[in-house]
Amino acid sequence: MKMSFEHRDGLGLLRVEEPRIDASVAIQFKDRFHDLTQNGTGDVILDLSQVDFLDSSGLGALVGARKLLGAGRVLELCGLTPTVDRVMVLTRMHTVFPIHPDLVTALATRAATS
Amino acid sequence: MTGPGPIPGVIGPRPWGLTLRFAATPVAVRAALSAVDAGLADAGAPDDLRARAQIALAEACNNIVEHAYPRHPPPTEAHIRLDIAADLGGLQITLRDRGRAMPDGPLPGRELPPLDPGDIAGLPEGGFGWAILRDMTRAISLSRRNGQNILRFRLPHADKPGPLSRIVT
Repeated sequence: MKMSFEHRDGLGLLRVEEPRIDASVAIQFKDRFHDLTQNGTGDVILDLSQVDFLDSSGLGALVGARKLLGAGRVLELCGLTPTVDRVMVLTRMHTVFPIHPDLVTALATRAATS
Repeated sequence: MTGPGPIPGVIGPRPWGLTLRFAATPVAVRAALSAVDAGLADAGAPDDLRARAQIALAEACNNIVEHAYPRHPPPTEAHIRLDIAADLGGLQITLRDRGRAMPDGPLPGRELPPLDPGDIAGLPEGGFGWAILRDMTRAISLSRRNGQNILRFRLPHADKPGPLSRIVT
């Protein structure tokens, strides 16, 4: 499961570098998310712009990742491709995660509201 | 004329279909879905139909992998057979497996698990599969014959939003 991670201004910026988050990689995704974020304390922005497919197992892993951060840290999403966005809306999970069109917008929105 | 003909009812007249048989494992399901998408793209299927096919088939196959063959790793004979036939209205999908039968009673509906966005620890991590499958498809039926589960559904050519889509948009 290829994911890149970067700290920037107290934020964790995570990018999934895989085309699919599905049942075959759901556990790896959650484990990798945990490894990359467990030592930080700030909010996390997850860039999904390279992910063109998310099934219900992948969605479950995304929710599991959200829980790993706890209520004190926020997980924001950006770069949802059409199929990923469709699954998020259909399952109402778009009400759980703040969602931004892309990373630049996500960072600008945070800067404007902080 | 070069290349495979477009899907009847989508662009052209030639009958189109695809049959795959693959192991009931997440990795094999992923490979099968890629093969389906490549086939549909070759046949000229529009992006929306391809996307719905990927989502619906993923949920249907994941259900088989998780529930029909609950042992891990699954027995070597645990396979899924997928038949796709194009017609004027869209795609007719048939999935067959020889795993456990579904419990008696009606098939799961469109209900989503309860969701309170403010309760992080209580967020549901599963229970979305059938709601997603129902939303993407029409005319789902499941039968059991000679030790075989047979799941059928349709993917209409044109996407007509179902009740679930109307609720959330």
